[in-house]
Amino acid sequence: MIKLAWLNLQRNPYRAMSIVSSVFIAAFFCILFGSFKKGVLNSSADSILKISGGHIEIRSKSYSQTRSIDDIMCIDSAILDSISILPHVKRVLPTLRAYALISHSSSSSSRAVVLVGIDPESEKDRIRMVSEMVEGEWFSEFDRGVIIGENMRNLLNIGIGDTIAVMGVGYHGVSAVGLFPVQGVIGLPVATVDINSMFMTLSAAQELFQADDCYSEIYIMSDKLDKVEVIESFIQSDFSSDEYEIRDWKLLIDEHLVYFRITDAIGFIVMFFLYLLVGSNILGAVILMTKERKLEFSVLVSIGMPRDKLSRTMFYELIMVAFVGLILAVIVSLPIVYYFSNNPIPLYGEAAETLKKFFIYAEIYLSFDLSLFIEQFLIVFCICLAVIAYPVIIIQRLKVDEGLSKRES
Amino acid sequence: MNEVINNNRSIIVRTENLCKLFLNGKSEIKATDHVNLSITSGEFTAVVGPSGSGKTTLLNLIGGLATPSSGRVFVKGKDINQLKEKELVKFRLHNIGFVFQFLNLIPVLTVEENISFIMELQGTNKEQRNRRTAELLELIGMKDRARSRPYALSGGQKQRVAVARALASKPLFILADEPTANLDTEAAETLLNTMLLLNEKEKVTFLFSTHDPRVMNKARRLITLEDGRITKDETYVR
Ligand SMILES: Nc1ncnc2c1ncn2[C@@H]1O[C@H](COP(=O)(O)OP(=O)(O)OP(=O)(O)O)[C@@H](O)[C@H]1O
Ligand SMILES: [Mg+2]
Repeated sequence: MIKLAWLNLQRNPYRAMSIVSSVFIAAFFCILFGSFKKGVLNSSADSILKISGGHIEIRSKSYSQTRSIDDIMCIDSAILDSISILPHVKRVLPTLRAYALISHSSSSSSRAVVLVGIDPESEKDRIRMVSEMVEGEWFSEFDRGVIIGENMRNLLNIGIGDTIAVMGVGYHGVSAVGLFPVQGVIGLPVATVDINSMFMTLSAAQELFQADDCYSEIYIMSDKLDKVEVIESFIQSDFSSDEYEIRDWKLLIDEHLVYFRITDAIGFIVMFFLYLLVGSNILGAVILMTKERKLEFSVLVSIGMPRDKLSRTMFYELIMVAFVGLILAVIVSLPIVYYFSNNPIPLYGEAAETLKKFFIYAEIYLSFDLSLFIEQFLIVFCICLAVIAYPVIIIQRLKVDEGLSKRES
Repeated sequence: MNEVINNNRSIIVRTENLCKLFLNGKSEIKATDHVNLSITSGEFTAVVGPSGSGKTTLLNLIGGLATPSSGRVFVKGKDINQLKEKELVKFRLHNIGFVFQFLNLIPVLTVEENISFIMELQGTNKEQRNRRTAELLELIGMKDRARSRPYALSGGQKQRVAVARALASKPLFILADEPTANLDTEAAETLLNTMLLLNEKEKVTFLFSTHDPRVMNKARRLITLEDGRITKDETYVR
């Protein structure tokens, strides 16, 4: 009976067209959206990495537990230079991060913030990739001002040129006090970072905390995700595991897991409705075909074709149809997904602005992942299997005399 | 097992108070109303009557395509409505040939494949299938169209292939509901002649329904239905 199923397709391809196209559309959009969903997650992961540092983070072991400025690491700048010339290292980003209280004449209370000292040149691209200057200027090397997040500016009601008083505890207990002018306001895509962080140049921070050549974290950015482990193995000799803690992006991302869970859940819900939509589309096409062929089925059962056999024939036929649609969808979507995995999806106009405000990523790349193709292929295939139940049930229940009568058709 | 009447012809179909009711809104329609009839082997019988008189219903009941509201249908002495659905399909496959008014043939199969198909369902081996298919194509005079697909045939040719297909399974008898209804006069005549030829040469039993007076004229027995009842049952010697 496979033969008959095959002949049904081979000799009457037009009849199969509507089902093929519905399966094609289903698989095509599921693959695209699946890649999009995964791409959003990956892009978000990327953005988070960009905002939080890099692919590898080095800290001293004690600092990671105490977060005390006394436990930060002090390292010869030659070592940093040697890391930066390793293959696939894009950038080395030393950071000095410490808590401090700030106050401003416009408000009576003081506020605890995270003071982040960064290397203005290397950080320029990184931070600017995920955020925009709202006001003022980015640091140049010897600037002694601070840049604050948009939310903090609104909260404190201050502007460019206003002076902020900073009070903290420096390295080994020295007091760290200073006055810093606000030289810029930046819109950061992560709200909590935006409201709690205050940036200054690394040298200004080291000076304030009296911690020359000392860093709370060193981040390393790689140009390729899959080379991160190689870099890790290289730097292990300089940073022994007794003293230092080296974490790669997979561990770093863990901290943002809630965000990913939510994004994933939204994606899942959208995906679910997408499946529902494409599933009913396929079902519609199959119902139509079944209706059209009721007379044919009735004739076949009348002349003595067992219903089971006829059901099986239809099953084989529809499986083949589904495969054609699925394979076509893979063939067509492959280059599209590939293209948009290397080129960001262009976002224009207001929609783009809104997206940028609500989401963490600024650029979306589709994820080009073979397992994703296989996954969507299998899911749509399962949908097809479920849909095929319809003609099978119809054939089992078919009343041949009604199927044969003119009344029906 | 077979019931025997005079001149040694066996009764192959017998109905007993056959009734089929349809509900049409609130009113009940008696599509067949206590029909009692017997068909003996070798008959060439037409069921006639005005539209709505119950011809299709009667043939469907006899062919086991519908279940009666009451009464019984015996084929080869067997009450076919006692059979389970699966057994009934198998029973049809081996005992009853069908010719319908439209779409008889599987559109994707060629003429010879259509004829061969039913024997394949019966489990006949390929060699025998091919031999019988060739034989039947010869009989209906369509040897040259063996490889054609149904869409390429005229209505009359399609119906002749349908008759050959019905015959391929070597059934006890062939049921044909208005086999000529979609045909022009000439095609109808050719089809009837083919059927008559098969009846005479191969002793194939035919029970068919028709509107067409010219078709009726060829029948050897005319059963007239009116409102689901047999009002006339005449045998002719032609
Ligand atoms: N499925 C059904 N539901 C309701 N009524 C039906 C059904 N099938 C047949 N009937 C009714 O039963 C009666 C007999 O119908 P049937 O089709 O057997 O007549 P017929 O002699 O074959 O007519 P025609 O010459 O038009 O084919 C008609 O009144 C018809 O309306
Ligand atoms: Mg009728």
